[in-house]
Amino acid sequence: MPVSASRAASISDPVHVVVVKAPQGIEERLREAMEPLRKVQGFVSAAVTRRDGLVIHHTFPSARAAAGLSAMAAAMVGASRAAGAELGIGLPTYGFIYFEDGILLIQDAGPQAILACLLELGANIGYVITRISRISDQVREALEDL
Amino acid sequence: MKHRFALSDEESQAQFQLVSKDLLEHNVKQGVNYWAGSPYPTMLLWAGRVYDFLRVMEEIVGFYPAHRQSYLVGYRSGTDGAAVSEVIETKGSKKAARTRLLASGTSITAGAGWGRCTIEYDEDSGKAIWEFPEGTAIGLAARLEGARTKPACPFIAGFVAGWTNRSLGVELEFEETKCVGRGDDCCLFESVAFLHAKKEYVE
Repeated sequence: MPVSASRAASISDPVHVVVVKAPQGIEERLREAMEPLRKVQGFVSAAVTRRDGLVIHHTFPSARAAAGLSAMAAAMVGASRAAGAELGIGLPTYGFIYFEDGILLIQDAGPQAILACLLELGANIGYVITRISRISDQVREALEDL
Repeated sequence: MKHRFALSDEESQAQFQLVSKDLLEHNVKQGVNYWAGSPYPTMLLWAGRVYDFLRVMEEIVGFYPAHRQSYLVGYRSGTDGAAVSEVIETKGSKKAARTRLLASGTSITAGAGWGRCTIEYDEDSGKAIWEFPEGTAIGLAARLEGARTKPACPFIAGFVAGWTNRSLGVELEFEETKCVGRGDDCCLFESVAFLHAKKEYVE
């Protein structure tokens, strides 16, 4: 199989886009970067998504679950950036939304990616933000090497 | 082995006659058009309105999420279009049929008025390139609206991806590397291993 074909986005199901296949070395670095999140109390799942909303790496039980969240996270970040520009208050750094049964935390991870993290309601947000910021830097560095 | 497909002026005219005229039927009771026996209504729409879908979404969610949504709609159009044409391209070996199906993308885009293109495909590297030397209809419409810094045709990028993937049985992603809507001399869509976000499009 040609190299470009083997690494291409898995977009054969156009409506329910699944996962972008990052090159092997990058995939491993992303997995390593995300690993500490699993130990955070209240952590549920997380996804590294491309800025257009395609999943690059995730810890969700299914790729489809990650795909939906990633597309929405990218739209949220995009809308937040537009709001920042409209209001003249700069770029967003991170955002979290409290739902009835959980918390969604989203942070930029460099020009290539966004990190979306799903947490339980009781999670220590301050601590999670510290961890997420560090992981975002690692994700950014990994994707800079692409 | 490298392939290159293109249409002559006469072939482009003939495809317009076939695709946009002969295969289009009008239901007088509904006032709705149908194409090639498909049950789905078909209508004439200004290319600028397709561009508007992108532009309006861009204003709300930014370029990349808007790009992706537009790309996906185009992708579906490409896969469905190739699936319909696939029925016709059955002569010879499976490989030959796949290549002919890819080549027929030139007929559809020109015949439907989306733009006349050449398609290059390198079997060895797996690289595919669709070039619209005069621009796509959407790119030309975008140009009329004023110069932009980002490409204007993610719908077409998705279409060529869907058409190529369905034809060849691959999973390529396409990037619009040139766009007349931002002042380039043509619209160019190239298959890429991994679509990188461009920093200047994000900030």
